[in-house]
Amino acid sequence: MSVVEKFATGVPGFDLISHGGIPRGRSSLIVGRSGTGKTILGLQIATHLARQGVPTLLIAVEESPDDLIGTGDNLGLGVSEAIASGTLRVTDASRPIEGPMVISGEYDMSGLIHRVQAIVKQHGSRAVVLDSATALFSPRPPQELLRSLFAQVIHAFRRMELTSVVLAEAAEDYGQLTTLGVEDFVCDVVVILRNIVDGERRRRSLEINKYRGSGHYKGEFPCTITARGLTIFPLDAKDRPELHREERYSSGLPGLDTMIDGGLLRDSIVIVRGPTGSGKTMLGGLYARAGALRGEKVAYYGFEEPKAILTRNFASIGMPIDELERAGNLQVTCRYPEALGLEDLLVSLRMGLEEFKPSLVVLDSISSIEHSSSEKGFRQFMIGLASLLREHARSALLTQTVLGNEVATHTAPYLSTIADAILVLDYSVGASDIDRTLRVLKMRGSSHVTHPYRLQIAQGGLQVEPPPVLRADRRQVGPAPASERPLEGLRILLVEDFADAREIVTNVLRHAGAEVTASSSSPEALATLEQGAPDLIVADIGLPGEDGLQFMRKVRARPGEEGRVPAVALTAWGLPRDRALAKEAGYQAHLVKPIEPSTLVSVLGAMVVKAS
Amino acid sequence: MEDETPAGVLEMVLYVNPAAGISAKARRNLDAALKGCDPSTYRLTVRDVSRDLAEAEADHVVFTPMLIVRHPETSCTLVGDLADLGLVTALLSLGALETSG
Repeated sequence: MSVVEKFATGVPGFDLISHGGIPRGRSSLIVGRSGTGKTILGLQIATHLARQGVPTLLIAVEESPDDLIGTGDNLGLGVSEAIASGTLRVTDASRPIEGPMVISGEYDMSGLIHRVQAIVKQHGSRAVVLDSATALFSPRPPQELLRSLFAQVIHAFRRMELTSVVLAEAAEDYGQLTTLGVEDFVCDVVVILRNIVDGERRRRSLEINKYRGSGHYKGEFPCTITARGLTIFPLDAKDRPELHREERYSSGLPGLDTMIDGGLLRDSIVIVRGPTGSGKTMLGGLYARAGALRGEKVAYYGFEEPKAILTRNFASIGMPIDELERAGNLQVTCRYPEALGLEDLLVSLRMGLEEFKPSLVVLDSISSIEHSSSEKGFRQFMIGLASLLREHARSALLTQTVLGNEVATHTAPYLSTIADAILVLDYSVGASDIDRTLRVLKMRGSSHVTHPYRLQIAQGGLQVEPPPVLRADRRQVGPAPASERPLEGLRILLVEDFADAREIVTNVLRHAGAEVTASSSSPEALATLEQGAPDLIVADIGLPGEDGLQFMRKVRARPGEEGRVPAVALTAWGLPRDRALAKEAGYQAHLVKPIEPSTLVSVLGAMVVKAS
Repeated sequence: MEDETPAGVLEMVLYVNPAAGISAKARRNLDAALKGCDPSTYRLTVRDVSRDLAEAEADHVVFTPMLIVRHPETSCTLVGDLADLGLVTALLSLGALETSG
């Protein structure tokens, strides 16, 4: 199978989704309703080809050459410059201004074709942009004749080995592609531009509907028109082989760095999720400050408060940022997303990446963007943003506000896919204080602690510490120091139905040197006992089905060694009656959550010594 | 440079593609429409789009055959093979050209 040779268009994003641009010597059709940016896209392609040394002919039908040149020059596309250099030629095929045009009987396209032939011969044109087919065939001839006439033009272009781009009006955003209804059958590539109302906002998109002989990205891609022309946001990133390296950098919180094996991975996207007041903005500020203090360039985009207030708030907790801004390491931009379209915001971010060239980017918060757009618009924004960040190989921290009861559940699939790491901030309101936690929900390519660490707001920002206690409500515990292994070689059967607690206690005991077999229920634990008696049993009381008391009675009813294994109840049930019931069932010790990991290890060690 | 058309004389330019049958047909139909007209009241120029490129460019020629009728007061463009004699004569009469049609 032959490979389709292509010309890059230079239109940001287009060459990626088209796998290289438009096909050489073939025809590409750009369709869209009025105001979708067809002419701009055509001009961008024409001027880019011209700048690349491909002599290009622009056929002006819908507007006069002067108007087209003016449009292109105003966008900074350098149309006049390309014309002056001789690489771009414009010919006027607009309707004669002398009186009405009456069409009667048969006719052909020889006039235009001969004109183009003459220009190609004289100018050496290798590409042509026709703006537009719709205007060219106005008034509209009968359908059969129209089909024939359009085919004459396209075939003539092909005979002349011209790479052609034809613009055409669409009657509707979704449905028949063009008002004339014939162009897409003849052209090799069909590109659809849309500018539709989505909620209260307009949303632009570009879709490659057809590309003969070549693969291309499918579906609609967000795009926008800026002072630089059309920009498309591919929902995928260019592959960057240089990313296949592991480099870590500090998150700005030493405690968090210890949770994630030394720091965040370079070129990764981190989402920090949590309810209002959980410390997300502060974490974003610490991340930004740490990067700037290392001498990196950091771009901070705040969407929730004016810059003056953000700066003041950071300063008030010992995180001043103005000095870092003055030094040029930190660029803080605060704006309300409602004031911008999402595509414009993406353009602003792209320009920021290209001009300021930050290595770290903070967006606080993406929820503000989410609330100012439709679900589809936000999804496209996020995917476009991720693509942008990956294309430029930038590390980013994005904050997301979620309700307190949704911190672990409210993750749209596309957000999970985008994020290389997800950190969850949460808090519970106690009788006298607020208990804050930080958990690493996910971190691609890195080991990390899965249980929550304690988070405290202090002067200088946030502090992250391993939890000192195993809590009854959230069942948290920190690992014992690896150097202390008082349970070395002990075989412990752990019975705990709550997965988090099971994992945490298992880690604590393993770090203390024990070999742990973990079960989630009484029957499972009893089945494990069949395979041999452990040195110690640690069991929760509040198990589903058979509780920890019934479990222990069955253990004690067993003959031989199995029935005599020392056992510890580890439970949130701490009343004297609970303690008595545990002892009555056969437990030697009754430990109440929360408990210090070191206490747990010490008690277990002492029990084994006593038993032996 | 061609001579300027004298005042009061209708100027007509017919662009044709000699290689195409419909251009020849348009030429015949126009001759038929002009039959009986006083030759001094009009001036017809037939241009070959494959050769008279500068003129075709200046007149924005896209389709052939194409007849441009110029009169100080009335101008129009007729695209097609000019088979509709009634239409042709009507348009020419707008330019004050008396035809036999």
